[in-house]
Amino acid sequence: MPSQTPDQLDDTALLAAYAKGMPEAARILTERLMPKLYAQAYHRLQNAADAEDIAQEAMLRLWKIAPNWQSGRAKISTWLYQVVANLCKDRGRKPPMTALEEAPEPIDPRLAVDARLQDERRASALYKALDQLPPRQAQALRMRHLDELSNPEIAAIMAVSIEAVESLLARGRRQLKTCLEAEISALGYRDEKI
Amino acid sequence: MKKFEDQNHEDLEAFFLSAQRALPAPSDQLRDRVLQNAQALMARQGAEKSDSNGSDIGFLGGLSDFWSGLGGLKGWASLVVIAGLSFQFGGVAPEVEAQIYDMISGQNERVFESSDPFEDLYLTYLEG
Repeated sequence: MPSQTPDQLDDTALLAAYAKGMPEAARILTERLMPKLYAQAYHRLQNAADAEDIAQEAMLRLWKIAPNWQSGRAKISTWLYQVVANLCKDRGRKPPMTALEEAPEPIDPRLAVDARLQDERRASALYKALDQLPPRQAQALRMRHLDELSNPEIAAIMAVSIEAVESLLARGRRQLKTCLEAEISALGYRDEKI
Repeated sequence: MKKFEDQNHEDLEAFFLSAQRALPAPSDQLRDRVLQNAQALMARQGAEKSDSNGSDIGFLGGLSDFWSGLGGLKGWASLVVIAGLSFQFGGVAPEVEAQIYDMISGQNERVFESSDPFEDLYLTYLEG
């Protein structure tokens, strides 16, 4: 059997390697997991500084638990997802740390200014509309379409059946469309392939 | 981005795509901070591990001191003999002592009751 490079190891094996004192494992895990945690937090809080704090805190908790991590108990990504969700809930109750204007530059600076503005307006309208939905529907929609989780992953996190997730998503989309009706007309949409 | 399976929701999909594109990139400092935390914890956990190994040795050392403080094998043997003799000659726990007393006194009462030689005479006298 060919030996695996550290990059090919799964998260659990990398965490075990980190716990045994392999700094390279920490680097790979950080590059693999941290952007997702940051994105998850940002989509909930819409504040880059807060999202960074939460991603850092979640990773810190991962390093702390590393020596005692039990491989059979949960997927590391699922565990981290729940850590971030809880941290966002706590942070959501506090005032944001910085103003939105202090947020870092967008991920792709080559985007034309008007396209960037369009994206920001749509994103803002979407976040507002999601906040108006019943919490479970909004949670399922965020996980599916912003965090890009699969239905079985969502079902595991929400502790419901896959059918229940499908139902939440279907109802959520209908309601979201109703909430966004005005913005869809105003901001329009196009099948952008930038 | 996942496609919308159930209905024609391209309009919604455009909003979600915009939200993905509008996501600011995490800073390089964040990555550095996360890795610094990882290294600091790794160092701390390594140090704790060696400390706990040291404390194992310390515990054994303490046990050794305790052993020699008791006078080694000779001291332990004396202790065992003293404990055995105390048990034999009354060095018994109060509850055990009370139980033994009850047992003895109960037995004595039964002995007295059954050994009354005039038991039948009383009954004869009363019945006339």
